Amino acid sequence: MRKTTKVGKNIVKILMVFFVAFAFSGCYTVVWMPNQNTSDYLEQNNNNYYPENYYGDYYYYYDSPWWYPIISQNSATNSSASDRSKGTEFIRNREGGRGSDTRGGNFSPPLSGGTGEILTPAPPAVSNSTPDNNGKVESSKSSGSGSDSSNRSNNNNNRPARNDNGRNSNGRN
Amino acid sequence: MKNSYSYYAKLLVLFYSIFLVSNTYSQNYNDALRLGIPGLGSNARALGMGDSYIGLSDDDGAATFNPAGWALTKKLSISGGLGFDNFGNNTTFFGQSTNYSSTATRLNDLSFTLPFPTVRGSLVFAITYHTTKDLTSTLKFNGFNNGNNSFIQDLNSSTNIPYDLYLTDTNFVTPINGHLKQSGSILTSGELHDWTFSGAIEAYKNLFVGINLNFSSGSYNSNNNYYEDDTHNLYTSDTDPGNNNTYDFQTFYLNRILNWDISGWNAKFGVLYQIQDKARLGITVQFPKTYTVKETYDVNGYSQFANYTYNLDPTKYSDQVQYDIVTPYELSFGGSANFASLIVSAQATLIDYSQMQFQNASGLSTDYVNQANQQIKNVLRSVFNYNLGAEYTFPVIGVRLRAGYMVMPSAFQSDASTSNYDRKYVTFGVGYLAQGAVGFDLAYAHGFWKNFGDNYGTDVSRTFQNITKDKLILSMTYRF
Repeated sequence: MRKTTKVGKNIVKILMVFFVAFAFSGCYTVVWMPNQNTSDYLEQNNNNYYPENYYGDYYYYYDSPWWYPIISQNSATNSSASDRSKGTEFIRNREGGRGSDTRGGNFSPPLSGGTGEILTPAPPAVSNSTPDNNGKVESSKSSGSGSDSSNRSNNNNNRPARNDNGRNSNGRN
Repeated sequence: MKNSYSYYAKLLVLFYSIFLVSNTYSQNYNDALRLGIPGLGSNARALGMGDSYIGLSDDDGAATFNPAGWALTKKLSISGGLGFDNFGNNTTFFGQSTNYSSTATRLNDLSFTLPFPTVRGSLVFAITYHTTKDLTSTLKFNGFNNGNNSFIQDLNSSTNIPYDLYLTDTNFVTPINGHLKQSGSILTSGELHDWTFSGAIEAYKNLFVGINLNFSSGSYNSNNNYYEDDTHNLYTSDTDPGNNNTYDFQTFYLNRILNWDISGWNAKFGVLYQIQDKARLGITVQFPKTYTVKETYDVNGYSQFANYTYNLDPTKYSDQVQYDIVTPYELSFGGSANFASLIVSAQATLIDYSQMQFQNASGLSTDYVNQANQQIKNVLRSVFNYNLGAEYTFPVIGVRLRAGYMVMPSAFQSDASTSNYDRKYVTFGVGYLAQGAVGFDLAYAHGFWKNFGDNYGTDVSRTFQNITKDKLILSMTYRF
């Protein structure tokens, strides 16, 4: 029993030396997580000792990681999700709202109402504002109006689906 | 006066019984060397390349050679193999030559490798069960020793065996004075297995480190039969005067059976650096292996006379002891270079056999253990083993041809002036890759060296041995 303990202690010492060495030096290896992309791996792991032109199938036998097809598939999955998102935006852009080229691509409030009065243009933060139940516009709590304006502009360009008919009407009325 | 003489004789018997019997067949440097000399490994590709594998080790050979090589493995893999060993010994004993051989076939290797998915670098774990050493050997001899010496006389100087077999009188005086036909055989079997748990990682770009934790088990059996026959009919009078049963001595027989139950552990640390896809350099440190040996030793024998046979009491000289054998550090370095389809590799290993030790003995006196350890330092030396190997790949057909050469110099200081006792191996191998995933490897090694042994004393009953060892490994690896 005493001897077993001694052996165990020796094993622990050797393992500690092994791992402490890495703790001080830092480790180059990064374990793949399911939400990571493969581009880093492809760039870093090109140390092939068995090039295909000289070793034929042995290249795949030694140097082709088993997890690469899985990671590739995962990345492909992530990419297609992004594409589908664009597709969704495309479809939602055709829900009867105003197209960007309907009026030259610029959002311009009408110059006059039915009575011929000149209406005050809508405040810039309108797209980041939330209308309350009374139709009042509540200002965005984001700091910096320039930033808000930019965000709105981006939103208008990238998420035109938010310019659907119902919401815009509510906001402006 | 007569009573006084008899009293001293009895005291002498008692002295022998207490102090000498237990030491007569005790442990020495040969026992330590049995476990200390490295085996041939269990990897077919490595063996085909002369076990020059520290600079490659990109498969389950990493369990034996360089644990850092595990980090070069990028596929899940399962491998297994069978090994065949043949030990041949052509012995010359007083001018007569005798051939004897012994074979063993066994499961050689089972391994599972698990490389973790990484976005950079490499992290691999593996578990391997493998045969690390074959302990099969054989020796047979037969010749007439015309000298004035015999094993009976040698035993009479330190044990009661001749006395117990009525080959002496009551005062331990024997009429036997050599000129006997001597014959016998020593047949040994056994092996060492390791369960190896491994981990390896790419610590920096192209720099790999790894560690193997080995838990060993094994067995060893030696069956030693020894005969001395009075073929020239020289001893016809009573060996124990006054006892007519001891008239006309014919044969003395001694059988010694040694059994070891072996367990132990050790660790091996390795580093491997790959240089621009063209070469690899490796360094390994094998920490001392501590083997615990549970030993049983059984002694049987008889003396045969014209009309009577005396048998030895088997319980009197048999015993059970336990001790540790600690092997030395092994420091290895080597490399491989890749020239298109040709890989060449070389390595050297420093082993200081004089560092071996007996420890933690139970059933052996501390003084004896100290003497045995001192004897190791006096008799053994440090050596450089070296290995060379090459492999050529025919990419179109997926076939690889290998060849190698290795030398393990004799551990004895007295052998330093000659290479006759160095263990030399030439090796060959072939590999084939099927469907890009299943690798078959076959390796053959032929070893040859000289040795000598003494049945007793020094150079009075010596066997001169031409030893050959043939090893065949067939393995299959599936990578997926």
